[in-house]
This record gives sequence, C-alpha cells and structure tokens, in this order.
Amino acid sequence: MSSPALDSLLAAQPNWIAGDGSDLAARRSAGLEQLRLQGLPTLRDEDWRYTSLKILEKQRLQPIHQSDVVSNETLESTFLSDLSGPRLVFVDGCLVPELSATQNLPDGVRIGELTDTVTADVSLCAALGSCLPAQGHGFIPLNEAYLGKGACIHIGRNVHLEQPVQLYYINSGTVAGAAVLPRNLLVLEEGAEAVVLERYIGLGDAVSFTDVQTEVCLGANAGLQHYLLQEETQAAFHIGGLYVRQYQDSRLVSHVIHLGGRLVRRDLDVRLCGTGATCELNGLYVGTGRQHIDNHTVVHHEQPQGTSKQLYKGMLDDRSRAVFHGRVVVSEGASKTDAQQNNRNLLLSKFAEVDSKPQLEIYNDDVKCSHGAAVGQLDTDALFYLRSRAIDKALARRILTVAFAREVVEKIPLPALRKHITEQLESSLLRGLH
Amino acid sequence: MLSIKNLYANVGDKPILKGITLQVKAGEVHAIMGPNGSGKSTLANVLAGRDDYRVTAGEITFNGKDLLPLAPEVRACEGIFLAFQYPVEIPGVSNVNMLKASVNAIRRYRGDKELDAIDFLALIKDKARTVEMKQEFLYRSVNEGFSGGEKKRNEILQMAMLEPRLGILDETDSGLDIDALRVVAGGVNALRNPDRAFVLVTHYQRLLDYIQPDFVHVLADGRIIRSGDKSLALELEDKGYGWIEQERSVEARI
Ligand SMILES: Nc1ncnc2c1ncn2[C@@H]1O[C@H](COP(=O)(O)OP(=O)(O)OP(=O)(O)O)[C@@H](O)[C@H]1O
Ligand SMILES: [Mg+2]
Repeated sequence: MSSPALDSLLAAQPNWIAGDGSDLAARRSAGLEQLRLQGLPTLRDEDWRYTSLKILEKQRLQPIHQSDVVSNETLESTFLSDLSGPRLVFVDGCLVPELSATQNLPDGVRIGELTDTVTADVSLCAALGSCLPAQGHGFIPLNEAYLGKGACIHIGRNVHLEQPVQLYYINSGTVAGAAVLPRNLLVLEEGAEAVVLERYIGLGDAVSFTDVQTEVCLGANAGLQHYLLQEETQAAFHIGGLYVRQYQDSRLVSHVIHLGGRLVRRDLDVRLCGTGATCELNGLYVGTGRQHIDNHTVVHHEQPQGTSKQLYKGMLDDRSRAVFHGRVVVSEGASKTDAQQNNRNLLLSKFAEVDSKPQLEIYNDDVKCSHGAAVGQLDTDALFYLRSRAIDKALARRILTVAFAREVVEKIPLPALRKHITEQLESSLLRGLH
Repeated sequence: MLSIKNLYANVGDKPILKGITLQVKAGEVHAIMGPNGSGKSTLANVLAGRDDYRVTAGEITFNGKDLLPLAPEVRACEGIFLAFQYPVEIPGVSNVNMLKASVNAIRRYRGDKELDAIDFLALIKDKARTVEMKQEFLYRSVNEGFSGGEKKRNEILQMAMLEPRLGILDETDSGLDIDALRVVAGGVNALRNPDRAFVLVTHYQRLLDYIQPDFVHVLADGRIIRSGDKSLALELEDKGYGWIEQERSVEARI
C-alpha cells in the first residue's frame, strides 16, 4: 500500500535540523534506518488490529519546528489559569521561551529543552531511549528519526517539587499536515517527587500529526503524578506513548484524559522492575463525531510485591469508536503481585463502538489479579427518573454521562484540573448529545 | 384536573390496564388500592410518561391538555409528580444538583426567573428540615445507599421542592416506620390546597388515617372494580379483596 504520510516523513528527515549533539544525530540516522525496514503498523499487527491507519497514511505530512503565527495572547488564553508552576510551551514543535517559565527552580531540579539538557549531562544522555521497548511499533523509530525536540525534566535525589510542571504542545492548525515529533524525558532520582502535566491542544482546523514519546525513569522510592490531557481538534492525529520504568518502592499515578483528536492511539507501558513498586493508571475518553481513540496499556510485573490498579472509562457518542487493550504480564519472580484492571464503557449512540480486551499473562501462582470489562448504555430507569423530575432528555443524558465519568475525574487531586476537565466534558457532550 | 377515560395499556404485547376511567378534581385526594400486580404502578407510570408502557386505547387529559403526547419532563413542568414505588439510585449525581436542575427547569417553563445558588440552597435546606432529613443527604448521590425509608423520604423532599399540582404517590408509605410515615403524610398535608390533587397508591389503611382521602378505588386486573369513600378502605382492611371479587362474580351470575 502506498503511504503518502510515511513517504513524506522519510523524505523530509534528511533536512531535519534539531539542534546539535552528534550523539542525537547518530540516533536519528539509526531511527530512520529502522523505520525504513519496519514501516508503520498495519491491521495485521496484533496490537493494531482495531485501529486502521488508512486515513492517516493518506495525509501528506510536513515536520515543522517553527512558529510565529499565533499571538501570545491567544496562546495564553489556553492556559489553565488556576495552575501555576514551571512551564514549557511548544507551538508547532518549537519552544516559545516568552511563554515558558523555568526560573527560580529549586536546587536539584532541571527543566529544559531536550537537546540542551541531555547534551549537557552524560547520565541523562544515557537514560534517553533506555525506557523505550527494543521492538516497538513503527512510530517509535519514527520519533527517533526526528529526535531532538521536546522536554527534559530531571529531579534530583530526595527533591520534592510541589508545583506541577506543565508541558504544553500547541498546534496552531495553520500549516496543513504539520507534524510534530517530540520526545520527553522525565528522570526522578531516588526519593524524588514530581507532578507533570502533558497537554496537547489544537487551535486551527488544519490536519495535524503528533508522534510523541515520553520516557519516565523512577528511581527507588520516587513518586510521579503524571497527567496526559489530549484536547486536540477533530482534524488531529495523535500517536503517543508513555514508557515508564519503576524501581524499588517507586509510585506512579497516571491520568489519561482524551477529549479530542480524530485518530488517537496511546501506549502506556509500565515496567515494575523493582520490588514493591506501585502504579495506578486512570483513563477517561470521550468520543464524538467520527473520533477513534485507542488506549493500549501494558503493566509488566517483574519483581515481587508490585501493585497495579487500572481504571479506564469511556463514553462514546455518534459514530465514534474506542479501543481499550489492557495487558498485565506477571513474571515468574513477581510473587505477591496485586493487579487490578477495570474498563467500563458507555455507548451513547447505536453507531458508536468499543473493543475492550483485557489480557492477563500470569507466570506465578502467588498473585492476586482481577480484571473486568463492560460496555453498556445509559440506565433507562435513571433517565426516566430524571425526566420525571422535569429535566429534559438531553440534559438528563448529559448529567448521567458526566456522572459516569466522575469516578475517574474525582481521582485527580488537582482541583484546577478537575474543574477544567468537568467543564470540557460537559461542553463536548453538549456538542455531541441531541 | 385529571381525566382518564377508558385507558388501555400494554407492556410489550401483554395488556395490563384494561379500561380505566377516573376523574380527579382539584383539591381532591384519591386512594388507589388493590392486589399485587393489578396495575397500580403501571397506571402511575403511564401518567408520568414512561414509554415502556404502550397506551393502546383511551385518553388522558390534564387541566384540559392531552397528556399522552407530552414527554415526561413536560408533564413534570405541567405539574405532575410521581413518587416512585422503587426510587432509582443515580451514582455520581447529587441530590442538590438534580433538584437544582429540576426546580429551574420548572421555573423556566413557567416563565419565572431561575433560582441562583444561594436562594436554591436556602430553599432546599428549609424543605429538608420539614421532611426531617439531615443535610448530608442533600450532597449524597441520589438515593445511592439510602435505606428504604430514606429513599421514600427523599421522594417527599423532591415533591416539596417541585410543588406539583398533581402528586402521585406509589406506595410511598410501604416499609416506613411510624416517624417516617408521619413525615410522608405531613409532606402531603402541607401541600394540600384547593388547587392541588393527590393520588395515593397504598396497601394500608394506616396512611389514610393521616391523609383523609375523598375517594377510594380498588384496582384489580387492570380495572377499577369498586369506588367509594374512605369507609371502603376500612372495609377492605377488614375483609380483604376477595370479598369484592366474590361479590362481583355473584353479580355477574345474577
Ligand atoms: N416491564 C414489565 N415487563 C413485564 N411485565 C410487567 C412490566 N411492568 C409491569 N409488568 C406486569 O404488569 C402487572 C402489573 O404490574 P404493576 O407494577 O402495575 O402492579 P402493582 O399493582 O403496582 O403491584 P404491587 O402492589 O405489587 O406494586 C404485573 O403482572 C407485572 O408483572
Ligand atoms: Mg406497584
């Protein structure tokens, strides 16, 4: 099959200049080589069975890293005003220093553009790429082929950074086929703690493509709260991954919120490679129109006494479609593992679809594992009850839908985010519900 | 106010209501009694607009308007309130939020200004006091984890907030302790006035000790087989429903 998307990305790579660092240049070449060999995933790949890339492949894409088309006022208006703290703002793949805030960081905290930060530190440079799977799908070598843009956050030993670090990726939507391919590297040393928000926003209507891969390394006893807020337009293609390595007693809480995008695929891959590491993965996806939202999670329990707890909930209206594939792999040595997984979906239209696939692979007897998957409709009794209380059908449906999402939203400890998400949820459902 | 004429209704293909005729005038209280499965809740739900029931014949008018084409929410705005026999639990939706949406929907419909948060809270707290409901219940999800009696009390709170013209109480008295029964009866009596009417579906005379009905009807197998004044309820308490059925079959033979 011909793929204008892949062809255009392969063709543009030799002209890609993304800072210096010969080390990165070598990686880019290797990524390009790998991409040529591998190509993009197809429906024949087990992990892509339910997600066709046909509409993406048809696009002619153009990697960009420059921006001056959007005024700072417009950009600032997208910020979460109640949330302060360090911030890096990338517009069309390019860092906008005037809008970013990385001053007055506590000792032991480094936040900066990827290339600058890793080239200045050998150990960070070595960490870069170490969390990615050896044999990932084609979007990983693609991301590697354009390595250089993105953010690096380094939190030193026992440093607790209270304020959330916000990474904004804003697509101006003015360049047709604009492609941004950032890499983020988050390294929390032993005992460090941080809160990191990745937020993806689209402004204009032009087709855009994001291939973002975020690597997270959590040292012993480190704790990370990670948020992914995907709020792009319905003309946006978003392929992204969060690859996490957790050492002894480290803690990860991840919140993934999808409120936009035309075709979205997120991989969340957590490797519990130290004893007693815990992760909690929460997800919420709302589909309207013809959106396709695919979440793949994998938790590798490699050492004893690890716990993982997953709750993903989806609400799908119109002709939207969602995929949830949750894999839990418990290795032979991972005794006393406690793994829970739950995926629940609400279909709001008879044309909406969900494929929910839990997959447990357990090679140890001394474990506690549970999983559940459900697809249902709005409770007609509840709907009638609300309507009998004078609440019209559309509002009653919205109230029940938001109530369904509440369980996930309430797990978010930051009030500013909870408020923002609830508002967005209501307005996106307001658009979709009839 | 409410006029039901020769009403037939099905669930699926199964006929449940088989020719009901009932007139309720403003200011009146009607009690409907009758054996389990006779169609009392079906009638109540048809009045409230539940679309699981298909009306196959007959008509219902409410204050002169044809009720049948109206959506449940419009009927509620027109002043019909159903206290459910089995109130529904709605996780994630708090009582206050639901009632705020309800009250304001009705106010909009009537052309009144919506209540702001402060006025609304003052109102609901006041009503909660009259039904002796603790304030924490207002912030809990609708009926979720409520005991049977608490759910019924919550129905009365909602009725007090919405101030309907026609209150239909479907066994709101069942399973209540004496104090709760007093609250339910108090809720109805507080609203009673010459412009309002009530239909009380009940199995027990004891509710009617607190709320004096003007009429008592016996519904059996989808029909009203006997109507009378409040003494009929006493007679039923004494003799059971078998007595009427027997009398009817005797009449039929003659
Ligand atoms: N959704 C339904 N599906 C099938 N049958 C139904 C349904 N709803 C009601 N019925 C049947 O209709 C009949 C009347 O039910 P209804 O609930 O109106 O009785 P009721 O008089 O309120 O009884 P009770 O005193 O026990 O509350 C019953 O036989 C019941 O099983
Ligand atoms: Mg009943």
